[in-house]
Amino acid sequence: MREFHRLALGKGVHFTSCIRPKYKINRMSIYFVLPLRKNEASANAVLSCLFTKSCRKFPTITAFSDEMGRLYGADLYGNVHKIEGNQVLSFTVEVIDDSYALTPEDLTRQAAELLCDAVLDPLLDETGNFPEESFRLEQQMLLDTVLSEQNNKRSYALAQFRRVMFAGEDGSLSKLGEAEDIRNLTVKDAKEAWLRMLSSAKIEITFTGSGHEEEAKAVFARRFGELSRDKIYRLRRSGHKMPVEVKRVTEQMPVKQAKLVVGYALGPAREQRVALKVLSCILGSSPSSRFFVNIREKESLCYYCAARSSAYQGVMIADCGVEKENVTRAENAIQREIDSIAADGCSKEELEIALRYLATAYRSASDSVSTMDWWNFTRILQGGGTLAHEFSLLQQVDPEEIRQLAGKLKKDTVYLLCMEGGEEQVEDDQA
Amino acid sequence: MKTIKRKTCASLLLRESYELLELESGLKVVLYQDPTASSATACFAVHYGSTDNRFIPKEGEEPICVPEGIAHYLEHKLFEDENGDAFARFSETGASANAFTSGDKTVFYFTATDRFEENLTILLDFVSTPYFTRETVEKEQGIIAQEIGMYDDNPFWQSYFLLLQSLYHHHSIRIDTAGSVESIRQITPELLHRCYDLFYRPQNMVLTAAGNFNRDRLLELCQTLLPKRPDFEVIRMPEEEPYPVRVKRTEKKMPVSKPLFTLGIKMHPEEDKEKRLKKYVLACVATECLFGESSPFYREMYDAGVINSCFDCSVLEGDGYLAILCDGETEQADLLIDAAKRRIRDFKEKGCDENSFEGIRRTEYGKQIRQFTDMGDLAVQLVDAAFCAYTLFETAEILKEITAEEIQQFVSKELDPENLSIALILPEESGGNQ
Repeated sequence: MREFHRLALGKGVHFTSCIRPKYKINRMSIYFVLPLRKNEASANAVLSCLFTKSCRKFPTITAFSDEMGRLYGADLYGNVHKIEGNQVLSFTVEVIDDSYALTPEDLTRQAAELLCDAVLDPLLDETGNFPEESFRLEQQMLLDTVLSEQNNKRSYALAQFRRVMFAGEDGSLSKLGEAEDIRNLTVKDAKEAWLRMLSSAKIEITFTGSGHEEEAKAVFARRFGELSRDKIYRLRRSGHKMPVEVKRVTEQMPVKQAKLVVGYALGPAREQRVALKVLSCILGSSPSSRFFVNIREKESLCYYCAARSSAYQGVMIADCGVEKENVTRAENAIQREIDSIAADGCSKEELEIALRYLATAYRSASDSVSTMDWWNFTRILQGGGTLAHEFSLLQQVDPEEIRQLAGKLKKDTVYLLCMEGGEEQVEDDQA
Repeated sequence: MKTIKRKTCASLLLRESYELLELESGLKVVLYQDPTASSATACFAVHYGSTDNRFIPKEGEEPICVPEGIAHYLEHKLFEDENGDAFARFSETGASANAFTSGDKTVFYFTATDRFEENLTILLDFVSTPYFTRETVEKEQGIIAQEIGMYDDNPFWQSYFLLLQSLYHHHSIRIDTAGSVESIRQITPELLHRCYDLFYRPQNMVLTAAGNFNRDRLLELCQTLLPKRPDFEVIRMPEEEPYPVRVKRTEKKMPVSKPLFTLGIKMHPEEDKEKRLKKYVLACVATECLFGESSPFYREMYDAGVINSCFDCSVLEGDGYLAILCDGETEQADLLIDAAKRRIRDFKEKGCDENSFEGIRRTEYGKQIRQFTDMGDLAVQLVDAAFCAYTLFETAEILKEITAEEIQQFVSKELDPENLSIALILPEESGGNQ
């Protein structure tokens, strides 16, 4: 097993492989890391739709799909991520190991070629642009995705909350762009975004799977070696400013269950990323957490009440689904748990439970190609350690570090989505 | 408790094997061992779900009806015991544990990277020792009512159940898994005990494990920890379900940006257990041929902007029900319905393109290999296979033999384009008439 092997394929282009014969499949991803800018976000994002339906070699959705079927149901898809102040476009293909083909075939090499065809050799018309008709369809798809954010009330509430908490910062920008920007997109914008992506994005190619990485690496080296690269984008690091006062926003929508999101800021916490993860776990990331045991089970206030954190942004976010009349009780209950840890710390037992829970997550991560792929990529981007290193850091977290971290949490933003309760409002409050 | 039956299921094609055992109590145990895995998942499951709310407790007794959502309620309550709950016990070992209820089963499971036997002990113990008091049962109503509220606001879930209610007149698959706020109010500790006692019997249960674990210790624990229980005697009482769909179109308004749909084509379910898997596999391949991404239907609808990438198609199958489902977003439901009907008629006449058919067959074969890559999913699939009395390898064997002509014949015989229904979730400002 080679957990992590990385090498440069060209200017700002790296290939990283993680091989374990047990996987039975191979997963290859190309990550393009770009700055997240309001005026470019939607043009970049539309590429994630455009490049997964056709390419010059397979010019229709039927031909493209037939090719994936021929490769035993290879799965090729695009995605857009936001990591700190960066926009990341990813294109991934997963294919079964060559040895499972019913007749001898180099499936991994062919899947790598298909992925490169999708991204580097897309379908263009006689003017050298993306065909207007397919561009319009994918533009509409992107718009539908942005507008349908409200269909999932929990993620909608979280997205709206982020717009409020991170207003004026990179964190408030939508990874897909805003609806208005998407409506105004042209074929020319998309073409420019593509050329910009190829010339200046930081490019990370990952291979996670059972083997045949040399064949795939040769394909990527050849295809990406042909690229003309310009000045390579340097990663942006962005944190969240500490609040002066608590922002409160209530949004009205005809929903049966209110969604409450409470955000806390704690300042730079990059070095304490593992401890913050443990604090989140003690508060609300497991069925033994304080939110689950006290707010859900003892008080029967809600079906879910969870905590999540980002050490890179220096924030912790709690969210729950709750009856509107119980919103204040829920907010107070969340605050009470944080105050209690800040004042008295957590018990040794609580800490051990959280450490065991996270240890299981760390250890089992290596069973999944998709988890390992994402782990390796974010590690390259954000500078974390190997699974084994992060696991060793976990063992060093002590109750005092948890108490101190909880003491740093400062209430920043409270967002509520509910059936009625007046207009959207922003109130001043003392933190 | 001795092992009375033992069988190894193996596939040369997929290069996989697993073990199927039956203990003296009637409990089935299905084990897939992978010593290279970092983790293992175990599922303890009962063939009892949200559709089992009308049955005869044992031969000669009167039929009884229980409130909707009781199987799901029971799932929640089994985690509790006199000294706390099972989550607290799992937290001592670091395992990740949970449970879910579907139409035909309730599954309790954990995933662990070490202390597998301790975790298995907890799993077998809490599922085998029900503990309900009036107070804790009442308290659970608040939590489940919140869960129901959450699904009430979920347009995808609403669209799915609206469609099931449109397709089926009587079959209890049309009932929401969690029941309703009203139905769960009727649930008492006595009713929970009654249902537990009747359904949670070894002959109606299965234990599966997938990943890295000690097989002999697992069997020892089953033999020492599981109490003796009477034989399973419940007689299920499925209501006669007419073939035609109940309603052809249903609409509901919710806060969504674009109309969502779930479209269903109802089919005759296969009653003969021997033929059921084959019919299911044929239905899956036919669905991909008719509506999958490589089909002319998909291309036509996608290029015309009638559907977008959210479109998906699948097969709904269980005791007494079988249907093709398509779901997604559309502003042009009528066009979509016409195209779906036309596609079925054309397919009956012309069949499918040989190239696309081979791609679909290969895709389904690829899925068979992928199912052995995730221990958590695999443990659940072993539960399904055990309850339906087939092995995971039979699908691959059926796929190997299927021909394009067979799919055409299947569609011709089984699919009536008029026996179709659509459920639509419309934005608040547009019309709707549920």
